[in-house]
Amino acid sequence: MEIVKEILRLFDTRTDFFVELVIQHIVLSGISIAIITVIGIALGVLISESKGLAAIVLALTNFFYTIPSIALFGFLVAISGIGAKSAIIALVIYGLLPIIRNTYVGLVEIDPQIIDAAIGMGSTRAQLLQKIRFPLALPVIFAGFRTMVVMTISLAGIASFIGAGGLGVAIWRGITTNYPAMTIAGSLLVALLAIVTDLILGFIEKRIGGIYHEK
Amino acid sequence: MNVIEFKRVSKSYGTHPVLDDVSLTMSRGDFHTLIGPSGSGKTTMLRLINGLIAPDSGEILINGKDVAQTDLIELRRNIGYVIQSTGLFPHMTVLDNINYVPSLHGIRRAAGGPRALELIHLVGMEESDLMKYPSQLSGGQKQRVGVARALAADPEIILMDEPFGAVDDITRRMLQDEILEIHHKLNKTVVFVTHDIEEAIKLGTKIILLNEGRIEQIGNKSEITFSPKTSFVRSFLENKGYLAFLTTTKIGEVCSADPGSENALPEIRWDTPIIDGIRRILSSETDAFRVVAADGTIVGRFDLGSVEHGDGSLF
Ligand SMILES: Nc1ncnc2c1ncn2[C@@H]1O[C@H](COP(=O)(O)OP(=O)(O)OP(=O)(O)O)[C@@H](O)[C@H]1O
Ligand SMILES: [Mg+2]
Repeated sequence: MEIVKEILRLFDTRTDFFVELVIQHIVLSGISIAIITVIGIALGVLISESKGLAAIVLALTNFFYTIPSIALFGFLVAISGIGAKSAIIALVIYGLLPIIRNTYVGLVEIDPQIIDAAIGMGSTRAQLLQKIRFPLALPVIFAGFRTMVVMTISLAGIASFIGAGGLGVAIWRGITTNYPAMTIAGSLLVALLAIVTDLILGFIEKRIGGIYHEK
Repeated sequence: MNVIEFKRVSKSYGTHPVLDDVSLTMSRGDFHTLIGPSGSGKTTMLRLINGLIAPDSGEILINGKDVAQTDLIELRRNIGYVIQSTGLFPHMTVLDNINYVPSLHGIRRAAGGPRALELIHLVGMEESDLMKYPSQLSGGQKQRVGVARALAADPEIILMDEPFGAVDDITRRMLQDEILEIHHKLNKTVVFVTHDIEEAIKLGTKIILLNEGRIEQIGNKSEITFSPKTSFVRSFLENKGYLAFLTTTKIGEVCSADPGSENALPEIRWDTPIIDGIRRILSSETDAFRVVAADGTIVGRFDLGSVEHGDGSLF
């Protein structure tokens, strides 16, 4: 119970410190999420046009996904140095897999009869993508987006190890100064951020899926 | 007058020939039913017409123009296309489904609204159905929307691939009556694939019988029923052909146009199915009828001989 009190006291006395870390954390994750979404969806759409390309890109992103995060951060520091840039690159590399995969799966697993009807009625390739395939894949893409967002927020906690700021700073400081309350306080906030975002996205996801299957 | 023409068309998948040197013409305003066993190449013929697949050899001409030399996107927008059951877009309302082809031309929903309303009434549905999603419709309603959608851009040709395959018998009969009425009203050139002999005979002004990628016979319903050209046609139709002919043909379609002078003959409405007339003749009630139109005017004479050797349609 001592530790709970200690954490609450920390939040109370160091409010400005934590608020700043939360903001940094949101900015860092937000930038990464935006980049991942753009690249991920673009790549997903691209590879949905070619099975060969899909196999290569999916294998590659799968491989990145399996690299231990500490190793990847270490590697990136050597290449692009300490700071937010390396952190964002690392977060993007990890985050791509769910969104590419879901975009791809969502686009290729549409009922072929529907595609057939759309082409048979005179859709161009672009119209087919914009009016039929993309909207139909949207629930699956959004599920991947949600996974990616939560994962990125959590993973951004490690980014401070390479000097990118964020709530990892509190965690890191707690560890190095042997101050568990500080570590737990930082972790709690990361978890809270992730859970709240997940709840909001889950709510949106339900609404998106619901449109097509109202009964 | 030839809207669609197949010239020596062959198509194979791998070594398996699906269509073998098919030639035929389809003229404007005819309702063509395409019937044959599963795998005989019916769907393949349909997809050759709107260029979803290309022939290995031969040509398909639409209004005299080779499909291979045509802008396929433009061509397809001018050909209505209805496929079995699942062709509706589940993420779009009925309105947006119907307005799909116009929207490809950039016509907005609001502008497409009046047309959609006209069409939804044409296929026997309500204005309030326009805002529903396909998942909220019954099987029969989905088929109706499929037909309305195919008509939206007022195409000259309509292709239908077993459009009524997935509904119950009663609904299917209703849909058949409606599509006939629509065909009467709009006079489109229709190519309609079906498995069902009764459906083919009931709907088709030209019936095309396909077997293993070859045309066995093309003809109107009395030619197909009474003069089968090959033993395949005979065995494929069996007695179903006769029965379908007798139940789906109206007396007005076969009776002789000369009413004769026997004033004592009982009268029969021209839209009565032949089979009812025959039943009354066989029950010795009479040997013949005077055929009357809906407004009571006498239009012809019907006896057993009319069934096979009628002068042709009064409709
Ligand atoms: N894409 C394809 N690849 C390989 N074979 C195909 C393809 N499409 C059709 N076939 C073959 O071509 C033949 C004719 O097919 P088609 O779909 O035209 O038959 P159908 O008369 O419409 O049959 P059904 O009444 O069962 O719908 C079949 O043997 C089928 O297996
Ligand atoms: Mg078929």
